[in-house]
Amino acid sequence: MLAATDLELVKAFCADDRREALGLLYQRYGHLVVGLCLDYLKEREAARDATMEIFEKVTLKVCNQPIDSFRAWLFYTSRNYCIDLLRKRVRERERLAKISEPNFVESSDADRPLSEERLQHLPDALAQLGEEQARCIKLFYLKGLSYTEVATTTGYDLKQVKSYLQNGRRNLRNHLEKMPHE
Amino acid sequence: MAVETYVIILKKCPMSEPAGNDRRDWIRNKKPGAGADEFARMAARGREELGSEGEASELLSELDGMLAKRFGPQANETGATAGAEKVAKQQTPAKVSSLRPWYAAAAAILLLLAAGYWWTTQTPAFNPEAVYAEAFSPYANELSGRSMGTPATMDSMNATLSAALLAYDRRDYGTAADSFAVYLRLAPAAAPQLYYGISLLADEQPTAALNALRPLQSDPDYGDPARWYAALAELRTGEIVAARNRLSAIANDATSLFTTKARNLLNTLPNTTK
Repeated sequence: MLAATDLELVKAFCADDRREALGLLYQRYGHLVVGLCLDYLKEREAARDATMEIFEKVTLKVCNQPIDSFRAWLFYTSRNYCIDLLRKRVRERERLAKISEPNFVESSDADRPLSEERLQHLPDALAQLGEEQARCIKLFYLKGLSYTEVATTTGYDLKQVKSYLQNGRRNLRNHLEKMPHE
Repeated sequence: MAVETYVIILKKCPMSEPAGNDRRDWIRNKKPGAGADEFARMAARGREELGSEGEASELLSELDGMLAKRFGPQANETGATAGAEKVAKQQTPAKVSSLRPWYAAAAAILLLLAAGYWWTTQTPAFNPEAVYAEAFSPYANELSGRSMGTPATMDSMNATLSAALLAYDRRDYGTAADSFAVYLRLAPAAAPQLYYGISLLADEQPTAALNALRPLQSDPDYGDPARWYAALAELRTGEIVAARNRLSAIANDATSLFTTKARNLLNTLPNTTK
């Protein structure tokens, strides 16, 4: 079974109910899925839990989908899951920020919330930000820290944190808009 | 060295595309080659979020353990890779080797029996949200590209519907639900009503989703998906009996597109009177 192709393993699970085939597939791709989740979520525990959720989804869906390449299908399934998670997280952060600091998330179209953007490109866009802005964005949006907690963690004062977040968010959105459509 | 690794990958996993770095390389934070695909590239960048090889190896070991627990012990037996095994070996120094072989065999049998007993007596706690998350996938967008009326008179309405469908396709369900609501006020119809209900459901508004989906239950075109997503909404609101009843009806309906899904989901629901 170790030498079986991905699609042979999928078939062994779907047609013959051989769960060990699925286990082998997960072993084969576990590091890629958790790595991708880390790239999006930037947090070890969140990435680990997301990986398990993805594999649970895959278990339920793998037999009902026309799959030409398991690797490609797993990539898109994993990526979509992480983007959904990211969108929920970013939206929640923006909601909380709006409540605690009404002027922080502006409502004009020019400064619309990040949750509306093409978040699949977030890791690429984040890599293009300056260090301070990227650090604040990661801690605030992805790790869910408050302004004060971000200030404590980074050593920046509160005013700087807000400024890095505000500018980082604007730059991030500009980068995201320039990313190519799929 | 790179060539050797590549050959090993091909021998062990012939279907794994050569674009991917293997597990050991990932643990070592070794960058994938120029021909790497998006999956390998993103995974390698994600690896940088971790520190040492030990941390990466430990994370994969944790995953192995969780996979073995959830999907069966085969995940560990058949697929454990060298990096993960190394950590396991380091954590449990060779105490077994000091036992005589028959003691070791007896201990292994007892361990297996205990594990088997534990495994068969485990009743995992039922988590409706987790079950919902496993079962939910968005209904295919069948409306984009269709003309919804005379362009001259319905441009504004069509723009609203297009915005809703675009958000739906982007999985931005909150925005989609808002746009569908605007559109439905202008032009109530079964199809957008269905997508409205699904968007509400995915946007964590299951009660509102139920209200949107209930009127569609006997719709000749959209009744089938509406019943399925209503069952998922009931699951999310904790109405397990109602969800079970609805899923049973779907599971027994040979014409439904959701028969298999409903049967699978029914198997995960607890027997409850609530």
